[in-house]
Amino acid sequence: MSSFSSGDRIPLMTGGYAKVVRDAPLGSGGQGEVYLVEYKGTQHALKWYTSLKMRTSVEFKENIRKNVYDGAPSERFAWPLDVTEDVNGSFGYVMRLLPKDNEEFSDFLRTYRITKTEPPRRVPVKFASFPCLIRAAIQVVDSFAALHRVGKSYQDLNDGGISMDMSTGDIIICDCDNIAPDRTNFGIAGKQGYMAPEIVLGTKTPDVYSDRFSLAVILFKLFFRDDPFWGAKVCKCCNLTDYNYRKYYGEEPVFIYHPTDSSNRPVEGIHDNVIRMWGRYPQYLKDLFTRAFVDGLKETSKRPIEIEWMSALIRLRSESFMCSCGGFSFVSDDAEKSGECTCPKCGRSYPVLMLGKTRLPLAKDAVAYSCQTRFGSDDFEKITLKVVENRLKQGLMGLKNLDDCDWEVFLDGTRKSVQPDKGTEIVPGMRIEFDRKTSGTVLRRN
Amino acid sequence: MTGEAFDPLEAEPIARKRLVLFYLIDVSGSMDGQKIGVVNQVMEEVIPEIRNVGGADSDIQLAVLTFSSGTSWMYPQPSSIETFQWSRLSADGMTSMGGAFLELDNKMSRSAFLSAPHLSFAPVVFLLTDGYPTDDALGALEKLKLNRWFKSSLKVALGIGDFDRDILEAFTGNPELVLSTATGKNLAQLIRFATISSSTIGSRSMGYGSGGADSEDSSALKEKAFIDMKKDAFGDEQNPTVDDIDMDDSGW
Repeated sequence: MSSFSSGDRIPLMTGGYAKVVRDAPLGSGGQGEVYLVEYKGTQHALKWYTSLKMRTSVEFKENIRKNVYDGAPSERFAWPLDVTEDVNGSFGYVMRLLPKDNEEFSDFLRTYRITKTEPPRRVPVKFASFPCLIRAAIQVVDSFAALHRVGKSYQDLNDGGISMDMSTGDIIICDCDNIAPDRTNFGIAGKQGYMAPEIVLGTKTPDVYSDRFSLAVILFKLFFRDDPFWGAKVCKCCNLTDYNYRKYYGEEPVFIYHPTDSSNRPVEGIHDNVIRMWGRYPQYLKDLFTRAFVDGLKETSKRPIEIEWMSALIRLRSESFMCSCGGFSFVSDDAEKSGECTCPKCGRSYPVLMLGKTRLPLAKDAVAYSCQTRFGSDDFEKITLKVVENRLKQGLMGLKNLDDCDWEVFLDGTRKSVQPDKGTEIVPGMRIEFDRKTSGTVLRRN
Repeated sequence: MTGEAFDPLEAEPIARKRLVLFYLIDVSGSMDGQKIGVVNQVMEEVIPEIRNVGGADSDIQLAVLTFSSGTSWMYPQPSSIETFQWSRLSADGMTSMGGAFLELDNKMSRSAFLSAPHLSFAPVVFLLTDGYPTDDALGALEKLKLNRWFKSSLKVALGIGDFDRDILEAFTGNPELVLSTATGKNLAQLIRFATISSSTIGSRSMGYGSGGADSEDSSALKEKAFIDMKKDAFGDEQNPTVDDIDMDDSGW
C-alpha cells in the first residue's frame, strides 16, 4: 500500500513542499519507497522511509539533515537536497531523479536488464566502448575521493548503488543516506561480497578504509566481471552458509590471483570472464588489485587510496587503443624498447608519445588530458592534445594543441612554437614542452 | 601478457550464487477456496518483485512442493525466478506434511536440486499450512533435520487459522519464525513479506558483529536478520499473529 498519492504535498524542513506527481511509487524496497515529486519547479525523487528502524531514528534523520546542509561533495552523488517534516510518523528526503536511460551497475554485471513486462524480457546492458567503461571507473574513483576528502564515508558500496549511462560512462552514486562522517555508523554493514573482511568479522564498523576495499571490489568487477575471492577453494564448500561466508570472506579470504597461494584460482566454466581477461590487463593495474586484496586484506592502510587508482586508470585510458582496423589492445610491455605500438590484429604500427610513465599510441583521434600535459593539473576531463590528420596532406598525422598556452617543440637541435589550435607533424624523436615543467617525447623507432 | 587483441566489453554474465527458495504448500481440502486463491494471487504478484532482489550475483530459484494426500513438485527442477511461471494450485485431500518433509529431504542434496558446480547460498524453506498433519510429520521432521542443507537453511512457517503450532515451531526451530494469521485476511501480506525479506536476507546484507555463525550448519545469523526485519515491518509489540482477529471468517 502506497504512503502517498498524486497531489499530496509533503512539507519540507527548509519551507515549501514536495508535491507527489504520480500515484504509485517508482520503486519500493526493504527500507522504503521512492516517489516522483515536484520540487522547486522540477521533477525529483522522494525517498520515503517505511522501515521502523529508520523512520524512528533521530540520529539517522539528523545525519541526513546535516548532509543536506553540507551539500554534495561532487555532482555525481544523488545527494539529499531537502528533508521532509514528519508525516504519519515517518520522513523522507528529496534527491535528483536518475536519467531514465541509465542502467544499474548490477545489470551491467549481469550483462542484461530484466524488463518489468510479463513475460519478462532481457535487454542487453553493455558499454558503448572501452573508453566509456574507463570513464565510469574514473568517475566512481573521483566521486569517492571527493567524499573522503570531506571526511565522510559511504559505508555500503555495492552493485546496487551505481547508476550508469552506458553510452558515455557517466555515473551517479545512489543511496546516499548512509553517508556519514567517518567512523559514524547507523547500523549498516554492507552487502555480501563487497564488505571488507573486518566488517564481515564485525571487528570494526564501516569507514573510509572499508570503503576503499569495496571500491576495489567494484573496480575489479567492472573490469574483470568476476568476484575477486570466489575461486576453487570457495567452490568446494558448495553451500555458502553464514559460517562459510565468514570463513572465505572474513577470516581467510584468498585472492583468486594471489601471487603465491594458488588454492583459490578461478574455475573454468564458472569464472571464464576473469580467466580470459586478467592476463590481458597491464601489470600496474593488476598490482593495485593485488595490493588491495592481498596486503590490504588485514592491513587496511595498505589498500590503494583513490589517487593511486586515479593515476592507474588515467594511464590505462591512454594506453588502450583502437586501431583503424577495429582491433583493440593495451600497449605492450615492449613498446618503449621498439619505439612503436603495433596492432596485434592487423600489424599496423603507430608512433608512441611518452608522457611520464604513460605510453600514448598516436593513432588518429588519440587524446591527452590536462592532468597529463600541465604541471599541477588534476583535470582529467579537459583534452589538451589530439592526434589529427592534416587537412591538406592526406595520411600526414600531427599533434594538435587544444590547450590555451603555446607548446615548444624540439627536434634535432631545432625549436619551434605551436600555438593553441595549431598542430605539428609527428616526428620520432621530437620533444614537446607543454609548459615549463611538463614535456613529452615521441619515441624513436628501433 | 598485454599487447594482444581482445574485446574488453565482451563478457558472460558474472558468476552467480544460487539461492533456492523452497515452498512447501498445504493443498489439502481445507485450503480450498479463498485461502488457495490468495496463495495463487500473491505468488503471481510477488515473483516479479523479487526478480531483481540480490542484484547481479544471485540467481534466485523457486522450487514449489505441494502436499495433500500425496506430494507433488510444481516443476521437476528448481527454476530461475527470471522465467518462473506460477502454475495455479487447487486444493483437495489430506495433509501429508510428513510426506513433504521426506520429499524435501530427498531433493535437498548435491545430487538432486542443489547440484554442483554451482555455489549456493543456504536455501530458504517456507512451510504454509492451515491444519494438522494426517501422517507422521514429526518422525519425518526428525529425518529432515539431519539434512545439512536443511540445517543451514532459513526456515519460516506460515500458519493459517487453527493449525498445528507445535509442528511449525519444531520445523523452524524458533517460535519467532512462525508467522500466523487467525483468519487468513492478511495471508497475502505475510507471504509477500516472508518471500521478499527472506530472498533479500538469503542473498544480501548481513548485520555486522552479530556472531552466531560459529557452527558450519548454523542459520542463526539469517534467522536473526529475518526476525529483525519482521520487527521492523510489523513493530515490536505488534505480532502479525493477532492483528486480524475481527475479520470475517465466513465463505471459506
